Amino acid sequence: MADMIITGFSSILLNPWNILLIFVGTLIGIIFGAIPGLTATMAISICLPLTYSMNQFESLSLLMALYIGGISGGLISAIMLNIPGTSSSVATCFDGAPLASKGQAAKALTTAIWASLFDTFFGLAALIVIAPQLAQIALKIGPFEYCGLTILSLSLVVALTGHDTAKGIISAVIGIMFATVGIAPVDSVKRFTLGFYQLNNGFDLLVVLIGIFAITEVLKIAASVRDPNRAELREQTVKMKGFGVTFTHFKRYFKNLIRSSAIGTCIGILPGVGGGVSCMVSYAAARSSSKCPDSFGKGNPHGIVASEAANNACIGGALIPLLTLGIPGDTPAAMLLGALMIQGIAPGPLIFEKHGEIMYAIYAAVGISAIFMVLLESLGTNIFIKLLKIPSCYLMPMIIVLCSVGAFSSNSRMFDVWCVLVFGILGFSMAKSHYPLPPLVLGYILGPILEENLRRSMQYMTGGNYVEILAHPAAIVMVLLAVLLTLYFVRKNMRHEKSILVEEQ
Amino acid sequence: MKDKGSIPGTVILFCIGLFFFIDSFNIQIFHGMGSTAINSATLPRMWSTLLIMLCIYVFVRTLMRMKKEGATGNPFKKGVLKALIFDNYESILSLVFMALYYGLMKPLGFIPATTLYLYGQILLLQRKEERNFWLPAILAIVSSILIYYVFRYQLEVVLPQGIMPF
Repeated sequence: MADMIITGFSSILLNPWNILLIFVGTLIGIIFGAIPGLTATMAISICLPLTYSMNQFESLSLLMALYIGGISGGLISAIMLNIPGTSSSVATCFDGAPLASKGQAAKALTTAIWASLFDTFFGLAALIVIAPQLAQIALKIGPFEYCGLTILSLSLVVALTGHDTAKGIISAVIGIMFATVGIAPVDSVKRFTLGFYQLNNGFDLLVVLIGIFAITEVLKIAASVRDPNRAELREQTVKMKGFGVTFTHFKRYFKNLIRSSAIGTCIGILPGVGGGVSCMVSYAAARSSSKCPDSFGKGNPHGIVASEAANNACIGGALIPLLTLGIPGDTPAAMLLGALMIQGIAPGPLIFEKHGEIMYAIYAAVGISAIFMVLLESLGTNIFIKLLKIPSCYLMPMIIVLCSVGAFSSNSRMFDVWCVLVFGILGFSMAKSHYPLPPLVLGYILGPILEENLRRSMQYMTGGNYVEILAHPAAIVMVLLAVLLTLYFVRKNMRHEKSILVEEQ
Repeated sequence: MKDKGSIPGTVILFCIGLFFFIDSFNIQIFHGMGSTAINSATLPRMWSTLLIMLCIYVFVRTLMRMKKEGATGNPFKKGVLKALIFDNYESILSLVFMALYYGLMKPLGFIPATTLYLYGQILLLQRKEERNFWLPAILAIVSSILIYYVFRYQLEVVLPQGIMPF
């Protein structure tokens, strides 16, 4: 085993070519993650053919760096433009963009960058120390537990809705409804496709995100053209000093970091769930446990920490089932699975015996990539901030073009681009009517998971075998918790409404 | 009156819910082996029913609040729609530009369509006092060619060529 560790680490650390590949991969990943419309999955799929002629260590160095850079890069556009670069950075927009608009973009960026670093290492530590145990837990999670977990996650919608619960639930339900378009799970019947074969696979998540966030943002800017109070150039009142964060910051955010890391890692190990859910669940948890929840959504750094910590911890979590079971945790991990198989590496329980040095090489690549990620993003902070000085009238149309190209490139068809427009109209109408948009995204991601697992659970209980559910106490606990949480937040919101009415009187 | 703005969005969402509810009756139900009480139409029908009920609740709540606050005027009066369009004409025009851009992308090609879109959209988003006709034109042409080159030849994303020879 010592041989494998030494071989694995030295093949990365002592080889300048691999270090260079990690650097380039991280940089490309960050660029892809930062531009709305481009994703980490795209970065990996474009660079995958380049790895055919490389050896295993070189190939994995490049691909892991792309993965980490791609997931992390989303924070840049989320904070600077209020448009998430990837689904993992949706929740970063909620507090990152308001903080940037207050002239504290440097603070928002550095907080997000260092939270990402901490939690990439947290996820990596989980991967190294308890991967086999977490993999065994992942194996035991079946449709009942998935059902319970999605119901619990959906109940957190109420925590994301602010004080208008009804509108928040409407937003989530709209997301769930749009997710039902396409071929149904289990029995594969077509639903709501209106005769369009392009809708057989439903709407792409990227299309929904671009429409809901990017198009809505442009339309909001268009709506404020005649507003004399519209602040065009956001002067930065907080300049970055040193690394941008101090030990005091670390102590302040420590509890949030640990909680968000745990959430991200646990959600990451569940195949099919991914960073989009982990960042929002973590954000909702941070908000509900905060002493001043009303400050969330207005530039509270804790919101940024929660989101970025969870989505980066999710990387380590997603690698656990990928490497130990051969089950990818999210879409980029699915691309990595293909890459591993091309290189002749069979993920699974025997990977430590057969390819132990590869595992340690992956650990080393992830660690070094995380360090490069922090260096590149920190050095680039001043450049990113200069983006804020570009007038919106020039910047936003360019963003729309890039988003449209991104939407087109996912399936090489104009249909997806038109769908972006439709979702943009929907998002703008909802935003103008004060409907929160985050629950829509959460509903869109979780709806299909809930339906598929609920129907699978029902199949276990056919023939009146309802006792089967008692064999899954975790699912029962999660559903009860969801009910209690929902009642708690609804009651809290009702009290808040009452207090406002009393104050007005 | 902040809540008055909820009405158009609520009506749109209600219509979406109604569409899903009605169309859920066109979903084929599988009755063979392995079928359960929850079929392909159950959850869509349930969610759309919830959506419709909540939209009605928000609509009625909004009207009651407007009445309580003594809001004057019928939100559905004829002039209100005209005012709504006038107040949001930049957003509506932006949507029209985007629709034209997407519609023209295939026949004209990525570069001409993007150039036209960028030019129009930039001019629309510029304030009157900052209006500049030359910089947006240069930016539109250079950006569209650069984006096409990077995506088509470096990243090998096949963008519509249209009337362009490359």
